[in-house]
Amino acid sequence: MLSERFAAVLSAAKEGSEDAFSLLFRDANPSLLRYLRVIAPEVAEDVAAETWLQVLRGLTGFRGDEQDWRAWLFTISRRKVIDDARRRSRRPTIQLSDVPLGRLPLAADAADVALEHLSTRKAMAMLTALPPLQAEVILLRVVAGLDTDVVAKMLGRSPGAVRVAAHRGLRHLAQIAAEAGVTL
Amino acid sequence: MPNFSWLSRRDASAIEDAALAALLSGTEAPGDLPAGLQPAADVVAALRARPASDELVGENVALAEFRARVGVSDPAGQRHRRRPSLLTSLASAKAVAAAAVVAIAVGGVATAAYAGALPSSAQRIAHELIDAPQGHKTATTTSDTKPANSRPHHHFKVPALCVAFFRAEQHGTAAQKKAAFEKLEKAAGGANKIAAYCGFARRHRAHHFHFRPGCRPMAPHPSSSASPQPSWSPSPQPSSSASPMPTPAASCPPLTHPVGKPFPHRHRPFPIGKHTPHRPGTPSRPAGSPAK
Repeated sequence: MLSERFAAVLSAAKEGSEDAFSLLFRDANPSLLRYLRVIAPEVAEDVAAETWLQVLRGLTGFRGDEQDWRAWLFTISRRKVIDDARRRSRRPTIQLSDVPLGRLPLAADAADVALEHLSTRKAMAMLTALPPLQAEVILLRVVAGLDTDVVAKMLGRSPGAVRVAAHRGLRHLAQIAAEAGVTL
Repeated sequence: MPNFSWLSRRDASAIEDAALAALLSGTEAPGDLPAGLQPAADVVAALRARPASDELVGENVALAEFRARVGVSDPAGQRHRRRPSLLTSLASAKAVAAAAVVAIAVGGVATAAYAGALPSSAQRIAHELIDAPQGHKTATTTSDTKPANSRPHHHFKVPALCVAFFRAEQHGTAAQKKAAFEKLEKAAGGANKIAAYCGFARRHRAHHFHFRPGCRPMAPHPSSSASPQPSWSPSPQPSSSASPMPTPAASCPPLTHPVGKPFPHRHRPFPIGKHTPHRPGTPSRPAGSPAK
């Protein structure tokens, strides 16, 4: 998160500063990819790239704080994942919760992954064992850094339902991690 | 008599909930969590770990897009942020490179060999690019209808890596495509320079190409303009300061907003706009974005 720097960085990016935009990218893209690699691993990189294209189309007109910014990015990504799933399945409507979470290979590309990153990969893999709503809520709260209310509106649920899903998900995760005896 | 066991369970649950809420919002203090929930804190910490290098993938593409859309100013200081461009219609540097190679292959002398092999979408791209300034010549008639010295750009030699990439894109496996792209990216000096390397960017800039179905900018008349022909000299660097935009031909009304039609290219992974209506300048805020 850029926190107190966000407003200045956003403003500079809107004025055309490449460095400022690079900061925005470097701040948000890892989170976007962590989110996407859990909910749509096969298309994660493509969706992230598409998200930035769409963000750039609207960048100069964007108004808001860092929460709004992150909510905007993740909303775009989420819609693209849903659109992609819809396009693939050719079904008229589809909920993200209908889309099975992908299985993340734990060590398939371990050679390419920095050591300190392995624990993140393991944590992401554990999320795929949760019910989709719980996994997505935890990602949006923890990885995207969004407030409960924002997540609730993104997902079309009540704040209470989001809170319950998050807490159940964390309890579930604690169980999974403890049973697996995974050292993160 | 009060049911103390029930109360204690509820209290325990409330304490847990408070700890979990703090964990989720990143405000927890070490040791806040009951021991049974500690593994969850470890998972959360791992999810928040510092970015790895493979999580910055796509930065070059995004920056190139940023330059094309927001960061580029013309000599008069006017931003082109609202100017639609072919570059910005494409989903990735790979797609840019593919379009560039298609354009050059069809427009240059080496064309005929490839023209027949193009899928219809690529063929449309090529015709958009090639026909616009040159009327409706086909690839096989280029260089024949005018004195050679008036069309030096048609002798632009396509760098072999561009052609190799084009071939891989058309016929190769995913691994071949990746390898060809990486070689091309390296030779060009970055993903954002591929279009220039393959001779595409300058032509693009010089002729104000917009992908507008049914509207073709007319070619500037050779005798009515000081430098009517695009420069096709192979240049590894985009000359961003050169080639101010010519006035769009009268047959094309000036664009005041980007073209909303998705670019018909097979690399475009998702249909944008159908389900996520979005207009530039009015970012599609999340439905419930808090009014702050």
